[in-house]
Amino acid sequence: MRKTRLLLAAAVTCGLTTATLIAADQMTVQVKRTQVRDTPSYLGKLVAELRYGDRVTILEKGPAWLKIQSKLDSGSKTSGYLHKSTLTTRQLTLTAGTASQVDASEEELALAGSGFNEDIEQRYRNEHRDLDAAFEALDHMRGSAIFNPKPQDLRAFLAQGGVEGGER
Amino acid sequence: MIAKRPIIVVALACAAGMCGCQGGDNSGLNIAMMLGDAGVISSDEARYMQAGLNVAGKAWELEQLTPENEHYIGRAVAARLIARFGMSENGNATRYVNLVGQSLAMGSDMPETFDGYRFIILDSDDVNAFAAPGGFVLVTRGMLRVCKSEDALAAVLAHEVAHVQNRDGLNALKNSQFWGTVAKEGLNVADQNIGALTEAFNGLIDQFVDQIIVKGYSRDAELRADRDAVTILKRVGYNANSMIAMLDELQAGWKPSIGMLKTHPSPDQRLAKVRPLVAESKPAPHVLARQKRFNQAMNPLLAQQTEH
Repeated sequence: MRKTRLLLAAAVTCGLTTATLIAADQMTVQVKRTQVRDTPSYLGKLVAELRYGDRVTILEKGPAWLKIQSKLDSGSKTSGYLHKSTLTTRQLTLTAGTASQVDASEEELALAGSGFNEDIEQRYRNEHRDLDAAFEALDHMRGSAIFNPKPQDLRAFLAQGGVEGGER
Repeated sequence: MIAKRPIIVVALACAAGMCGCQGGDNSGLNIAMMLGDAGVISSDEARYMQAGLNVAGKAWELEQLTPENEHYIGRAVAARLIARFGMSENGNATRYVNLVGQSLAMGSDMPETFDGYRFIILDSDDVNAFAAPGGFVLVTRGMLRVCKSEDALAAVLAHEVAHVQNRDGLNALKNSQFWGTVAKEGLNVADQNIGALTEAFNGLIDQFVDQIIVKGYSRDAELRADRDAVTILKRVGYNANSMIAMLDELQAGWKPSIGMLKTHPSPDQRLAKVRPLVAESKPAPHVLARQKRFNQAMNPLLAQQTEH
């Protein structure tokens, strides 16, 4: 019986390990938000914005950038490039504080929260009230233009300083 | 009948796992819960499976951390450093440092983190710089004072961005006992786990702060960050020779905080490794526009001293 239970457990684990990955040509956005560009470069024109949990289909794989296809809110498809750091083959669970287009059932949200997330941080903050001001400063940075220069601002900044994309 | 049942369930479980893969739904997770509820496997085994661990409770792997997890670790570390040293309120200097820093992040191997890089100026005259997971880079006013040009600043920030892309902070804590708690309690934030997870988080943040302020990363990690910083500088187009200029400055008799002395190889050792990497670069022209804007942004900031 023990041997059967172990065999069963191993089989389910294999199944689940596979289940935590998604189909081979599909990946998921693992950052809060990112921009799809028309060329494999941060200088490329903006094609679409994607958010955490959005699924894309991989069309081509480069060393750093992937050509992807994605469905827009309107239902139409678009293609362009994302840097590989924005994508994962893992099937991500949603966390309570994460903005996502994907509708999550209550059960999915109840299962969500893989490891350290906003909930854990809130509890940490409750135990460390001496860090209130610091966390508030970090929260303020999220919406601040000072900490979030737009790509076009970065391009202009580099150009004004004669900083030209160099050797690879 | 009883002997056949486990085989059928195994087959169903495998099929469910595969279907979960194709359809991207949670059928595999649901199977684990059902088997747990039916008593076919124990609730611990069900929990391990939901968490993607094997039934032996395999040790926590750093690769299981998502960028979101790294972000929250980094935020807490950054909060601790801001609380300890204070944060500069000079908006112009901060904007300028973020323009340089974000440009460098774009040229790194990890240009995008969960919520983006943040470059923060700490209100301290100590010479130091810190990198936390998720892209939080904090440099002291004292370190900015050692930089004499935008390219030197770029060298400092590129080194810290390299630590982020290489996940050196997390790698340094690979053997922390707190990962064991996370593996044991599982990844799902259920009521019975959240206390233990919070405690593990607490412990990890303490260890992380201790690591970067007191112990530092390994010599190899520091030298690798120098090497990768040269790569980033070249990609973006800054003068890679500025790494040499910065290390010369650091060697020339500054007054480092205790942390800096203990946590980094000596500037001479670092220079020996960096020189060959830079030797092949074409010397970039000194650009007046860069020097002017560096002075404009930095001079008012550097005129301040921390009151003691």
